[in-house]
Amino acid sequence: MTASARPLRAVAWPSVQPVDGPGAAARAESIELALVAAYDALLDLVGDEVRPILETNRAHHRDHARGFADLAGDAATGDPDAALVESLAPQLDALGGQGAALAFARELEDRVAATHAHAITVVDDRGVAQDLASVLAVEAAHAASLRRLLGEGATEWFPDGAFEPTDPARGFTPQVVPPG
Amino acid sequence: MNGLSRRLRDAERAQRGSVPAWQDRLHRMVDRRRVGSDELTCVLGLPSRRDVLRIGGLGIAGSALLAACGGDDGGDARTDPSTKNAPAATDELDPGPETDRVLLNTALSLEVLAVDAYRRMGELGLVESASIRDAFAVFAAHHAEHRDVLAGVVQAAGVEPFLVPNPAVRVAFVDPALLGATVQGDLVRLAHDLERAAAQTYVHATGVLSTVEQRGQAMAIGAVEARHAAILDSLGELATEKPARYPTEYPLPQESRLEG
Repeated sequence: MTASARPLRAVAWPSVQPVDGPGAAARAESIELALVAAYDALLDLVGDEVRPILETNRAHHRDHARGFADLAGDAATGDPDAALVESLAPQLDALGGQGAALAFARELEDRVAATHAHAITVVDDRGVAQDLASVLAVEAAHAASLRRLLGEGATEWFPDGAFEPTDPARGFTPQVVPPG
Repeated sequence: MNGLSRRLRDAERAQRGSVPAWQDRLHRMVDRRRVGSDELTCVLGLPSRRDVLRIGGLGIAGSALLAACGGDDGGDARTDPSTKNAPAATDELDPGPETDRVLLNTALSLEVLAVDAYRRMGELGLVESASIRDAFAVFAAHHAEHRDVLAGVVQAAGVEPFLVPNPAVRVAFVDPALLGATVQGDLVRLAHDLERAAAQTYVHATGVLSTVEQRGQAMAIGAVEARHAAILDSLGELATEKPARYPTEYPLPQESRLEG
């Protein structure tokens, strides 16, 4: 997996609630950059027919990272979340082909959506919450589109039913991104 | 909550009873095959097509509504320069309990509208695809869950839940779209636009609502509605634009906002 030319730094999931806006934006930025790196790897596994879809998703994540960096100000790192990259790398290496790559992308999108949905429930800054919401809606849409692309039916489109999960365990959790 | 549950049931029954009569009246009034969209707009007393719904500054009247009215004069509002930079039909709201009540009750009325719209879409008998039929059924069930949760939130905020389909959006958008629908694709487009507008409403609300709990609830719903829109885009091969972010402005006409 191609991560970053620069040394990676972990960004801790803040343990105290509510979370301040710059801290939440910085964490979101680092996660988005980790997803960009993951998509770099996934694009090597897919054919021309679906490549544009994954390229669009990757471009969106890059855009999201830039937006969050702006909101994070001095707290922005400019780096992908190191622990997340480390966690994803062996999984990406083990993927066998296009179907597995698309399923993995779907999993990434579901998890990042849950991560942002949770962040909205703890961030004390309305502006950052709205930016997370604006991004969350698009990433939830990515996940749904990938489910369609994978040929899933209506019974599989919404594993969590009528509500986006806000449980941090459904997202990229503190276990994946340990403090420190 | 027992009283609220009863009111939810009563509201649903009342809507079921009233719609066929409304459709009959309207069909008696106009022969939709001969009446142009402008005349239809006039008969219905609707706002200008361009004023109907704005998503990200673009009129979505150009999609479902124009298709619904039939006789599209070739002016696609999505590319119409006169609508491209239209300001959002909204004033900035000052955050606070009163605004919370306005946004929550408005969102509730949009959920009631969506439940009602999917039921009416099913009754038209235009849906041929099993996938689309399944999607409509799942989405309608989700909106019913959203409605029930929001009704509780609104009641907890100390106001009467508004359990009627949002009047402004129904009259300006849903009714004419349903009246003019002739093929399955018209309904998919209508559903997509409604879902996208609803999702954007929650994105907007997240920047205004007072508490983290309310903001979390709003986007737990809004994200699922964004998923609905994406699935409809795929099922209907709508090939809509896919920007990196949902717009944050309120997408609906000012009149669609309810009193707190």
